[in-house]
Amino acid sequence: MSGTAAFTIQVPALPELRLVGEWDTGQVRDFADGLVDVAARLVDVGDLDAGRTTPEWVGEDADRYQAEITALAGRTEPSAEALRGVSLEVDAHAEALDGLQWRRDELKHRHTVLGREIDELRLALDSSDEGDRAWLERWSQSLAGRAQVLDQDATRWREDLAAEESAMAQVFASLRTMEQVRRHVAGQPDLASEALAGLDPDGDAEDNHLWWAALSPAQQRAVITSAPEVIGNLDGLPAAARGEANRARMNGDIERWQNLLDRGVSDPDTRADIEQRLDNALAARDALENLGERADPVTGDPVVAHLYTYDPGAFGGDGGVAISIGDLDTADNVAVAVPGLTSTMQSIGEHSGAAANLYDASRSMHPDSSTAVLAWIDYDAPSGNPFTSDSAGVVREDLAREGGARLADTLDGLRASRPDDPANLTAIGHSYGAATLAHTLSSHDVDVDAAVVIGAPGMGPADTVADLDVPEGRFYVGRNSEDFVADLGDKGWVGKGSVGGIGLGRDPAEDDFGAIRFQAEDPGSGLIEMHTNYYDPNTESLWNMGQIVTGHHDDLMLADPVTDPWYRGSVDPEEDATIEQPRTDQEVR
Amino acid sequence: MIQIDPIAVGAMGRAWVQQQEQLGEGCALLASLPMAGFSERVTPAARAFTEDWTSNVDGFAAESASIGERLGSVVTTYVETEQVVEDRFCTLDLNGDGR
Repeated sequence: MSGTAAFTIQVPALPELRLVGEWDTGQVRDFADGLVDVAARLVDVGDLDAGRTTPEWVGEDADRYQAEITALAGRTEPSAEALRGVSLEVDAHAEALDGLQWRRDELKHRHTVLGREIDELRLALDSSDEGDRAWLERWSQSLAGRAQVLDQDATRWREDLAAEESAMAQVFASLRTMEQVRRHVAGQPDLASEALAGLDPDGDAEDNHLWWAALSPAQQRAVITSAPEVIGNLDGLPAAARGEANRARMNGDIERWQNLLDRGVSDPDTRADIEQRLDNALAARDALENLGERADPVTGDPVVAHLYTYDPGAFGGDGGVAISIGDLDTADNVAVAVPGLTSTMQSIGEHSGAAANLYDASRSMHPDSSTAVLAWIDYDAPSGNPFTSDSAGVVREDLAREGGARLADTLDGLRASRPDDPANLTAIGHSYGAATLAHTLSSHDVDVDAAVVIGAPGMGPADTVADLDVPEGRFYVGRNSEDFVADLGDKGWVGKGSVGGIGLGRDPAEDDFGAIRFQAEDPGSGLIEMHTNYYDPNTESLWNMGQIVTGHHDDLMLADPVTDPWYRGSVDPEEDATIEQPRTDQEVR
Repeated sequence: MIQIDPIAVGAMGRAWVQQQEQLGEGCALLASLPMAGFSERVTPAARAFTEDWTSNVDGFAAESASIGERLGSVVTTYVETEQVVEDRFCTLDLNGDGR
């Protein structure tokens, strides 16, 4: 509303266009031209085949030669045809993007003009009187109508862009393997393409789950085989399907990148990039191999391990990865473990080892229920290195906020993948991962049965447990009294997060926060170890987490919270407590 | 019957080796195709596509090289065999007079 006269007129709001998308059609066309060039080289193979052999060469060797080159040409010629076909589609994509760019420019222009006129209307209202009312109302209505149409056009633009992008991605996915090429040339429908056509690129985890569940087993198999990059990290899908797709991607990446490096890559930046992604992929493979050697402590069977998330080029090269120990698709209890600073894809061996400790403890302590633990490093954790660009993130919340959104997506995906058989789901955050989890629980609508923070330097935006989306009485904190990182959080009157955005928020172990604190003292020594040993076997911390993850909330080793009276510094009653060493490899009775 | 023109077959072998080099360049071309032009949602599919085709074409190149090498081997074997036969004929003392 605006106006100084005796009447008021609704000033229309300027719609937010959200015309997001970056591309370069010149480079897209270069891509298409490159495919034509490669196709021409494949045609040359066919030409060699057409030359066949010389009439002066007769005999068994000649016969074998002819059979071999005929078979080769039988693959190169359809391949050339396929690449030319994709090239045409890429060119058409560039054309479509040009059209979308033109429409975006036009929408932005209309947006600017409309915004200016809305400002003019406000100015006019400020100096209007009753005599102006009629024309001002007409003007306002006209602007409101234009705003509505502009909003609709922007929505249509976003939908058209998504459809165009989806169509292009499907073309790429439909002609990658020789089997796909063979079917394409034979005019047979591609099972994977048919299936992928029904996938909504803007769908959420529940949509993805419904899409997957509606596919036939043959279509699911085709998608895993020919489009693993589409479904490998798709939330809402079964972990088994994601894991198989991601293992195929990982193995393919390792082979390709090793070959490329062996052949030599002249550009140093490209070489460094390939080397880093290769190291990330190798770290995931090593972690999976190590887990593959572990046996379930109860049955003695090999543990199930899925490569749930695989993104070796994410986060500026740090990479994103998540590996499960135990079967996420069927386990009674599922825990998601989030590590903290310095975690990158290359930390997955260490982190999955910690998660395996929790798996072993949960199974040993309660062998009657099955458990799976997801070692999750799919966010840009601060490096902790003062010489790298994300070092500031150690003491600031930016990366925790972004990571919190990604973790929320993962939790939603786990829930959506088992709508009829929900697991007892616990989220665990260690160190900076605790701040990340705090953002997940305070800023997103997630459905966890319990949450745990250990060695937490602060709880981000949450001032008390009431700010967290966790069932009442199910938010836990474990804090070693000698953990220097866990002592960074705000207490009492001290607000470390109040200056310049530095700091990670409240200490969740403090009495005012309202979390349930469990014992987490460690019998070892060493400054760093006091912050890093929470997952060690036969510790108070691991025993308590084993109880929580398996749903035994009434049988914990509880600790009193930290207090911070106004007249002195904070007091941690655990400093003088007897350190216990409960067995995490024995059944709890 | 075995009949062979070593010069013609040798030329075919060299053509396949050249073909392997051509396809090797095709692999490099595929690996260097610009990805930056595509939008964020299309890039992963484009990258996977080019990586798979780099592998496919690499396989064709390896087959071409193998064909070329084996053709060369056929010619070498033929020439060596012919030489051995010729040498044997030359060393045979058919008349028993040492000539």
